[in-house]
Parts: sequence; C-alpha cells; structure tokens
Amino acid sequence: MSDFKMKILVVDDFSTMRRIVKNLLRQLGYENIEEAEDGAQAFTKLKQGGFGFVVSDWNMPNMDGLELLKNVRSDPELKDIPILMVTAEAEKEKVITAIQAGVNNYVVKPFTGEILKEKMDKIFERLQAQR
Amino acid sequence: MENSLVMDEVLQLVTFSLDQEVYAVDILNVQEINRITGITKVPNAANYMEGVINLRGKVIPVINLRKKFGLQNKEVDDSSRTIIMDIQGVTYGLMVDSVSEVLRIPSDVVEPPPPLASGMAGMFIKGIAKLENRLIILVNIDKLMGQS
Amino acid sequence: MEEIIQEFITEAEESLEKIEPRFVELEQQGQNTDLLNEIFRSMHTIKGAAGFLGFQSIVDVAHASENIMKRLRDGEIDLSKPLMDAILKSIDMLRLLLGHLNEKDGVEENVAPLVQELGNALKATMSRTATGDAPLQNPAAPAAAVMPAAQITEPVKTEEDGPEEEEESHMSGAVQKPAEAPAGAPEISAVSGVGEHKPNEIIQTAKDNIQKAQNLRVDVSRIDKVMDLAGEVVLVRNRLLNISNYFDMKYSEDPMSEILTESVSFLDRITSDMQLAVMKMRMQPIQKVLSKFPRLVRDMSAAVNKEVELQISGEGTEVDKTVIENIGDPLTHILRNSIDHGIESAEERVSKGKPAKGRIIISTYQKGTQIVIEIMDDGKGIDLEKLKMKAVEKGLMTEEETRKMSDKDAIDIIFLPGFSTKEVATELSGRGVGMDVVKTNISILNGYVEVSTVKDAGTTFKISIPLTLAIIQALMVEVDGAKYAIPLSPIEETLKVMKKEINNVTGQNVIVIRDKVCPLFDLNSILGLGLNGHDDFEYKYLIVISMGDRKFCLAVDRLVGQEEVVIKTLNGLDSTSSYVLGATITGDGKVVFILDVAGISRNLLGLSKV
Repeated sequence: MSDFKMKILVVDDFSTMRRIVKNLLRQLGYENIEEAEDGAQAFTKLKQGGFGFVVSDWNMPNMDGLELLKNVRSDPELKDIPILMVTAEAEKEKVITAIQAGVNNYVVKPFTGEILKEKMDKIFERLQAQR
Repeated sequence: MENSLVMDEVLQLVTFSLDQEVYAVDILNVQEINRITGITKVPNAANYMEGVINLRGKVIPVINLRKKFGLQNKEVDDSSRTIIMDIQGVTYGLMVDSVSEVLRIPSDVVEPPPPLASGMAGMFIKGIAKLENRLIILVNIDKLMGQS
Repeated sequence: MEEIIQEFITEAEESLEKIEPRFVELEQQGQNTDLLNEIFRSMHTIKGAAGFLGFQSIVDVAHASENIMKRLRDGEIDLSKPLMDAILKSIDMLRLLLGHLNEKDGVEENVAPLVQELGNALKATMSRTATGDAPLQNPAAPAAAVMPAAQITEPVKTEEDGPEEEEESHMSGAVQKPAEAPAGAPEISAVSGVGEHKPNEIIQTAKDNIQKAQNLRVDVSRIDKVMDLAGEVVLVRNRLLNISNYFDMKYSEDPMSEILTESVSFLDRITSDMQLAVMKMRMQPIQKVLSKFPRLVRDMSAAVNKEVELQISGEGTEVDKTVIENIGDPLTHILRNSIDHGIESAEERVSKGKPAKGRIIISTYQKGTQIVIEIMDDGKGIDLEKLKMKAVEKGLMTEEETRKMSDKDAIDIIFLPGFSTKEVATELSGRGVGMDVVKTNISILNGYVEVSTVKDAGTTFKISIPLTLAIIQALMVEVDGAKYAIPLSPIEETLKVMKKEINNVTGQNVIVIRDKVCPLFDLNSILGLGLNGHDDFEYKYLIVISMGDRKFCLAVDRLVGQEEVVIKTLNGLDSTSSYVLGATITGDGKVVFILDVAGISRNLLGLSKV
C-alpha cells in the first residue's frame, strides 16, 4: 500500500540524524527523500511542492518542529501533508501541543525501521479511512 | 604458502657504484632513476646535501652518497644518476656514480656486515652479498637519513 | 554505517565546540533564555543521534547534562558554579567518549560517577531553590524537586509502551483537526487579516536561511588536492607567460603571437581568480580556535585564584586552515602567561585602584594582507629591569649588554628558550617553557610577534600572520648566480647603493638611510654559499626589511623582479638552519628557495643591540 515513489522531507538540524532517518526510510523502500536543516528551510522546500510526507525533529534553530507544523497546517496548499514528529522522549505536554497543532503521529528517539514503518502505516491507514 | 617462501628467499636489488665498490638497495624502495639535472643548492646545509630537484612539481632533496659515506668527491658526469627512493615516508634522491643493474639474489648469500666495517659507510651497511666473483654491499637506507 | 558514525563524531564535536563558550557567556550574563535554548538543543541532539547509534555512555552523559539544562532553560533553577562545573565536566567526558569512538580504541569510560555527580548537582540546586524561593514558584516545581534523581530516568521508560494507546486516541482526533482548526474563531482572524503577510515573511526568512545553510562538507584532502592542482596551474601559467613574452618579442609582427599574448593574459587573470577562490575554500573563521578560550581562561584563572574576564572580538575573521591548526598553542601560552604573570591578584588590583577583576581582550582583524591577533591584558606589565636582572643571573647575557639594551629588545628576553621570571614554577606557566614556543610556532606561519608593555597598565601581544600561506607575492633576487624568493610583505623598499656608501661600525656593516643607521648583511654570506666573499663589486642592491619594529638590509647582486609564487613544502630538509620557509618552482622548472626572513631576522639581530 505504501507508495515508495512518494517524496519525503526529512527535517533535522543535525546532519547525522537526517542521515539516520534517511537510511531507515531507504530500508523501508522509500527512495525519493529530501532534507532540510530547520523548519524554515523545510517550509520553503515544501512550498516548492510535491512532498507526500514529512518527518521532522522537534528542537531546531530558526523554526522548530512545532512552528513548522503550525505553519504547514495553516497553509492552504500544504495543510494536508502528513507530518511525523520525532521527539527525544515522551513529554506529554509537548505531545499534546503537537496533537492540537495537527501532528499525525510522533515517534520517540531512538527508533528502529520497524517502529518507523508502523507509525507511517498507521498514518496512511487513517488517512485512507478518512477519504 | 609456498609462494611466499620463495618470495622471501629472493631479494630484488638495484645495484649502483660509488668509488670502486658496488652497492645495492631493495628495489621496493626505489621509485625511479634519473639523470642529474637542475640541482638547486640548499643554504647552510650539511655537506652531503647536494641540493634539491624538481620532480614533476615536487621538491626533493638529493643526497650525495659519496659525501654521506665519507668518500672522495667526484664531479657529476654522464653516468651519474639519482635514485629516487622512499625513505621512511620522505622521498629523497640518492646521487651515485652510476646505476648498474637490477639483480635477483637468493637471500642466503647475504652475510651480516663485518663487525668493524671501515669508514663512515660502516654504519649504513645492512649486509654483504657474496656472489661468485664479487661482493655487493647492501645499504641500510633507514639508517641513512636518521639522526644526522 | 561507518560513515554515519564518522559524521556523528565530527558533528557532535563541532556542536560541543560551539556550545562550550556559551557556558562561560552564561556564567557572565546570567540567565539568558536564547543561550540556554541553544545549549539545550545541541545536547539534546547529540543524545538523540547517539541513541540511534547505540552509544549508551554518550546518551547517559548527555541525558544527565541535558536534564540540568532543561531546568535551567525553563527557569526552574538558577545557574550556579557547582552546576556549571558539573556541566563542563560532562562536555569534557563527551569529548573523551567521542575521542574513543574516533580512535576506535575500544576504551570504555565509566560514566556512572559523572552521571551521579550531575544528578547530585541538580539535586543540590533544586533543594536549595525549593527551600529558598519555594513560595514564589509554581507549586509543581518544589514537588518535582523532592525526587529529582528518580525523575531523570522516569520519562524514558514510560513513553514506549504505556501511554502509546492513550496517545493514539488523541491522534485519531488529531487527523481531522488540522483542517478544521484554522476555522476555529481565534485563528481565523490571524489567517485572513494580518496573517496574510505571515507566510510570505516566513518564506523570506527561510530563503535567507537557505543561503546561510547551503554548506557542503568536504574532505580536507580533497580541498588540498585542488589546492595543489591550482598551484600547478599557477606554475604553468608562469611558464606560459615567459613563453608568450618571448614570442611577443621575437615575432611581434605575427598576428598569432598577439593572439597568444591575449590568451595567456586571459589565462593569467582566470588563474589569479581561481587561486583566490581555492584559497577561500581553505579559510575558516578564527572562532574555531577562539571558542575554546573562554573555558580555558575560566579554568586557568580559577587555578591561580584570580578573577579574569575574557573579551573576544573579530572572531569571524577568516584565516587559512593551517593558521587555525597552528595558532592555538601560541595563543594558549600567551593567555597562560597573562593570567599567571600579568594579571594581579584581586587585592593587589584593588590596592592599585584597578577593578578587582582582570581583563584580557583578544581581538582579531585583517590589516592589508595580514591577519592581526592582539592579546591585551590589563595586568601589571612586564618589569623590564627584573627581566634584565634575571637574564644576567641566568648567564644569558652580561650586565653590560643589558644596560645598552633598548626596552623593545629587553621585552624579547621573554622569548629566550627556557626563560622564566617567576621564582616558583606554577601549574600554569610551568618553568618558562612556552614563550619561546610562541615565537617559533608563529614564525612557522611566516608571521611575527610584537610585545608592548606599560607598567601597571598591562601587556599587549600582537601577532601578525600573512593571510594565506600557499601563494605569496615575492621578490626574486639573485646572489652569486642563484635565484631566491623573498616574501614581499616584510620588504619596505629596495635601494641601489655604491660600495663606498657602506660603512663598517665595529665589525658590522651598516648603511645610512634617510639619516637612520640600518645594519646590513650580505645574503651570500648569510646563506653560507660559495666562498667567494667578493669585495670587488661596485654597487649592490639592498632590500630593506622591516620585521615588527626591526629594520635591516640584505645585500644581493641583482633584483630579478616581483613574482607570485606557490609555496611547496620541503620534506627531508632542515629548513630552520637553511633560512628557507619553502621552495617554489619557477617558470623554467627550476627550484627556487623562499627565504625565511623572520628566521634570518631572529638569528642575525636576535637580542643584539642594533
């Protein structure tokens, strides 16, 4: 059911992390992956269009993950892009804020390929069900 | 296994002459052999430091082996050569009277240097190869550019 | 995988390097949310990535440290010295751990005591906060303070299995929410009204950020390769210039020769531009070196019970990679010296009417083709009489000699090998080892140091280094038939003098230039070449060299001209005794040595009274 051609944006200020996430996504079969260093850069990239999914870190300079999420959700063109937020530990308040801001799911570092797949599957299942 | 044994037993040497003697160095250390041209003298250098040359864009010091071994000096002539070699990671040129041949010898003909090898050259000798009608002095190149 | 680990090590080390000076800033500025946020984020990120890679020790240390930072950031606790010490220790430990990873030495550090210490430091601070400011605080905070140690580990465990389901239920609602949320009353005004501009603004700043962020991590060896190749191109360019000049003279009527000249001069321009571009690739902000100093100064001054404030300016100044690699040690030595010998104790300072806290200012700026680094302290200055006495005592010079010495020369005594003015060797400055190293290291970079000092006002070290070390402008000269290149930067002027204009004063040749006496040396004899110390010349060319505050002349047979030369490193040669700092290959393929004028100046003038 997964569309492996889907363009995915990985957002993290730490390039090692971007690489790790990219590798995991590749292991799952996704090939069309782009990177952004922070929310601001991510937003610009997203505006260029064509992205089907975003995996974003929370803590970033310039524009953090939550801000990015809010900006995406309030942008008429982008508002439907599913976003998976990466957090370091489950901070309830933060997660709740993110949910209120419209995050599709979140995943806690460190995670494996399977966990990532699970989370992504859940997101897409739900989106499917909605349609 | 057998191959490596055979390899161990054969030494491949480049032989060259200085004064009346024939010397040799391991071919593995030799990069190339050149004629002597365009040497630039080094200011305030040791007497055996002949100068530096431009080897395809790299600046390489040239050692006058006669002087290094404390032998009498000789003018550069048509047969003079520099043996470009790698000594402990640094590329040097060794200036010799002439380069003779590449030689394969069994390692068991090499004897340790005589205990009281005469002259400056003594400390740079690794061993002496005794062939049918001649002696070849094996130079210990690692000692050549040590503390000097 | 290996690559990722390597990248992680580099990136984590860079992050640590970046945040370390922030701590000292914090200590000085007190609570600054932006700083705290930045520090927290870096630590947090390191932890996250380390978790993926399975580096548990790093995760543990970073986690314990991050815990403190989080509370600092959220204003739950205030920064205190013990807390800071613990955090700095954690940074040291992380460095050590990264070092082991890098070395692949398999060494395991026991991080448990440090993690414990971090926990304890936090606990101690929190209980203090709790008893002190409790009534003013959010009631939740003191409650949390009761069991901080437990709390450190708690959240990690709970998230994975337990709350997942619970969270899922929120999630399901969340999916439709985003589409509808903006329709909610408060948001709508923001979107349609003022908010209209907001997305545009974001794009604007985002674009700026992209421009800043477009970086490519490149292996240094690749850049060096390009650098080498660029050097080769310069050599070929020089050769072609020679050839085209030749054709231009010989076949000036031939239109092809004109085309050749044109093409070569075009190549000439491009080559210069390329050189500059490649050079810039190697340039890095000096901040890379300076960033470790706030911490260093903090630790060093604490070790000798002094209070010292470090100010840094011009840290964005870009210098060649080689400078970055070699300037750290000399700067450290100078700082040590200033803290140890320069800055007085608080009591002494107060009695002199100075602020109790000493101050050291490091400022970096570009001046022409030189980079200048100044290290200025407001300490007691160097006692020249004491220096001279010491030098005599140590048998380094006679009393007679010291009496004739100018103040400038006297200061240079500190650069003599093994010299120290402190009777007791201290932990910091050791036994005078160091200051001579400063001079040596800086002359390796083809630079020089000047010292100026005012009693009770302080001492300033001024280091000047050429902007680039790979390609320099040089004056080609000829001595006894051999060509040499002299770096252009220290050359003040060139003169042609008749033999009779050269005087000899007590065995030293001198020449009077505009009423000033300047010592003169024959390059031929300095370089120990050829025995023909010919006196049979009619005139000589003099190169007037000024190094810092010193001036002297080198006599040569002929001036060949100015050339841009590529410095080739010399392996297998003792370049110190040879007075050469490198060699270059000229258009005709010959090797020409580039003279080390700083070395010549040091050896010839040294501490002599000129």
